[in-house]
Amino acid sequence: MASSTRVTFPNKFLPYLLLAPQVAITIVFFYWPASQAIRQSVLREDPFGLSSKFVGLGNFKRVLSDPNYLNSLQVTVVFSIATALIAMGFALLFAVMADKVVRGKGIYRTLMIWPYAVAPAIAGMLWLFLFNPSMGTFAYMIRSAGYNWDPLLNGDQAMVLVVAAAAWKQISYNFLFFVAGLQSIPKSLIEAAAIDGAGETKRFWTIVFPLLAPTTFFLLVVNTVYAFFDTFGIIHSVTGGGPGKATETLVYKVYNDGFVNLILGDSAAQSVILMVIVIGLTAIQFRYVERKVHYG
Amino acid sequence: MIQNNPISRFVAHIILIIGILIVAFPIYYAFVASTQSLQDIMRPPLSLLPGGHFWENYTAALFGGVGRIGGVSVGRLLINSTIMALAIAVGKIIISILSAYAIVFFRFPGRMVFFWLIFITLMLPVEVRILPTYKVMVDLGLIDTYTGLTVPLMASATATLLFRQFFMTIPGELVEAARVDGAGPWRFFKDILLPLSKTNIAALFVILFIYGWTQYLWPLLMTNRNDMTTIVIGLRKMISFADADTEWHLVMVTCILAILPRSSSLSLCNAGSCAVWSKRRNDMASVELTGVRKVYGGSVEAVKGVNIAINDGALCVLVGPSGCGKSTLLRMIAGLESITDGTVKIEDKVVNDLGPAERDIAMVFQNYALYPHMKVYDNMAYGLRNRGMPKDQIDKRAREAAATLELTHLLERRPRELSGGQRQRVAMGRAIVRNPKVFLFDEPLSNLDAKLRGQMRVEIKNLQRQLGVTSVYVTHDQLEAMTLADILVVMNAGAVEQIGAPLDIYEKPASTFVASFIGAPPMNLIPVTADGSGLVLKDGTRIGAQGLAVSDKDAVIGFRPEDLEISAGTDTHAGGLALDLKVLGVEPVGAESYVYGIIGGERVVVRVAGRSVSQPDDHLRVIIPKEKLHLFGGDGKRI
Repeated sequence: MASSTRVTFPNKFLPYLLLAPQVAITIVFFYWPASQAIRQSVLREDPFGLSSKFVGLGNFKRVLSDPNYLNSLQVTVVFSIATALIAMGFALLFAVMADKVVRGKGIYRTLMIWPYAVAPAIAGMLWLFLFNPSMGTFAYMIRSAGYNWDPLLNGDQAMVLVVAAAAWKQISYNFLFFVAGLQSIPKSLIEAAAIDGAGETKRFWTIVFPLLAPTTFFLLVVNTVYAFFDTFGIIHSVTGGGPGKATETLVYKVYNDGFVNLILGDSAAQSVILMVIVIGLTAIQFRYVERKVHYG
Repeated sequence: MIQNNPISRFVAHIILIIGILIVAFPIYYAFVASTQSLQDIMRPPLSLLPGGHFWENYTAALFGGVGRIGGVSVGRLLINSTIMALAIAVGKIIISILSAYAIVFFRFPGRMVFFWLIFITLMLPVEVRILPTYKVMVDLGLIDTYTGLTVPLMASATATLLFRQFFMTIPGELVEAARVDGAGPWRFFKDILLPLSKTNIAALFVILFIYGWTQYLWPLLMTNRNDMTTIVIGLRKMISFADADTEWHLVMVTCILAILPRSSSLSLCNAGSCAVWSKRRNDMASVELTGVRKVYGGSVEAVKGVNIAINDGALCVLVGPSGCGKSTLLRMIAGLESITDGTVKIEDKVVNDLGPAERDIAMVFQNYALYPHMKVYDNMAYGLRNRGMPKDQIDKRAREAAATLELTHLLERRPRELSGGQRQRVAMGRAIVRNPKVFLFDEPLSNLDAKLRGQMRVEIKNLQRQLGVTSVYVTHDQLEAMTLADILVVMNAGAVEQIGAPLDIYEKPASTFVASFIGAPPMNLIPVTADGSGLVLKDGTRIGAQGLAVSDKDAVIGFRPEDLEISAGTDTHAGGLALDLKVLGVEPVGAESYVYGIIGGERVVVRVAGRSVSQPDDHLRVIIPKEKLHLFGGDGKRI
């Protein structure tokens, strides 16, 4: 019988040596700053930075009652939900269609994943170019149609622009996963449904979509995390959080307060809140991913 | 496959074309703009076709200084981005592959602590902890350095987990095979693990390169110098929200340049090289186990004081049910398991403290453990190369072994291109090229179908006899054990039940366990009790026990299915036992028939030559000749 325990090398020092680089980097650039952030989030410095005292959750209370912070929380939620839904909706539509056609399948798939590796900031740039009020071709067309388009002055329009850019960049990624998800659905099930008299649309909603649920849920979490954190480049390059604070997301606010306006007071507390949010999101993701992927 | 109707397919095409437009148009249009003059761009709508300023714009951006990024050229930014992305990708791969190797292939104190230490970092992307990290970077003086731009991003929990997951799919036997072939941790890493990880590394490289290339917040904060920044950040600096002086034609050139490198992918090539057997040595080794014990975790005794001596050139078969400790024992001989107690000697030398490679043994694994990325030739040559044998000699040995095993025409194939039997022979070839002192076989035939198993059994027996190498062979199949063994060792629950020549064991099983394990169908065993005057079956039937001395109150009588005679009359056979058998059913298998029935409340089998005329519910008189009768005590030991 084969032994079920893992076969290993008997060696006392080598494993530590192998782990050293990773652990060193992790401790210096991860645990140290993270612990600093947690420490500072419960301290308040006097105006001269000479001494600091323990204030417990005082910083958190202040941050969470700051209307600007709540605004940015709301902006983030709206931005994330809109981005995730649009990116996933279009990706699913295209994946289902690509699954249906016989001819040109390969070409469609190849073109569909074009933006996969485009940096979010560049995606923002491409869309800004098209919709820039001064010379963007699409902006020109919208204005010619009699609509007053100026994302640099109108907050809602600015939001639409960053959501479009952020969702556009993510379509490819979602498309790949949906195509793979569709392929994993046994053809016999769909054929059985067809024999059972379900039409094409009915088959999609009663068989395909429910069976895609694992993929959909996985993508929902991934897209939310993407919209929360990876889209900083889009906001920074397209709107700069403006106009007003209409597109100021949480990550952008941490950056803006800490590095531009140099309000360091509450930044540690903001960082900790962000960490808690992302740990929550990741925990959900792993509870789910765990079932599909074996890390043990 | 369901045929969709043409209209629905037409609609699908329309939707996909719209999709392609949405997805690809912004990129296409950026390219168009990158070939136009600034004046044309500033007068919308812009043409849908490329203009004539391609060279002009691209050379201006790539080589000329761009005003808004401090006169630095986009070419410089491209180089910066490439350096950063390359360093991050390569660094991440090296660091994470080493970590995963340590975590999967070594056991050491704190292993799980390290694993979680790394795992937790997965949860916090750099954007989230940017402020405190920035302070640390300032304190360490790493702002505006390439180290600062790259090193902190090199630790990757994701890549470590991916490698870990992949490594865990590598069968443990491959590690054992490599150790037997003389490969230490470094050689295993270099010769087995890295080549097997090639595809994963290539795929991961592309993903990590893109990750490094698309970083935004990190390079934005880690350097203020325009000549050190990346193309993505430079791009942001080239536009302005307020001024109208954005050079959009150059911005679009830069966008296109920043998107291009995504097509970079690695095609790691496989350097295929090539690899059996010198004159047989006469110094055959004997294997001697004395009081060998294996205790797991201080309490579980897997092997309980085993003593076996195997003569030169003999084939010793360890047989027993699952979990009897036979594989553990074999692996202790191989040096793959430590020995808790006792000594293992090979050729009169205690090898307890020697590694598998130093014991001069060769092993054939149950799943063959062929290196999947190496050709047949290299699979056989690998162990010889590790021992520093000259090339010409390796070649000679490999070819001789291949000829012996009729593998010559398969030398250039890879394991996945071979059939089960061929793989088996390659595994054998890998063992015999080494010309070892001892061959170890761990259930080598259990992955083959019944017919092939029969053939390979004969081949192994002939080969072993021809080579005359002392061998230890583990199997749970008693037929395999009977036919192959010179010495048969029957094991049960970690202990040796009996050692001897196969037929001796068959004829004189030392215990009820051996009696029921060796032989098919197994020996019939019927519990009896003895009173003063004779033996009594469970159902109360008293049987004659002339000359059978039973001192125990409880005993078991046994007889092989073929040792029964069916008698027409009701007479008692002189010097034997006469019993009544109630027939339950008959299985004719051609040359013989098996009659299943009940004697004294116990199920028994009788083998009858040719056809049997018995019918269910018949009552037969069966005679067991005295010399064919086996008698076991209450403890199951032979009396």
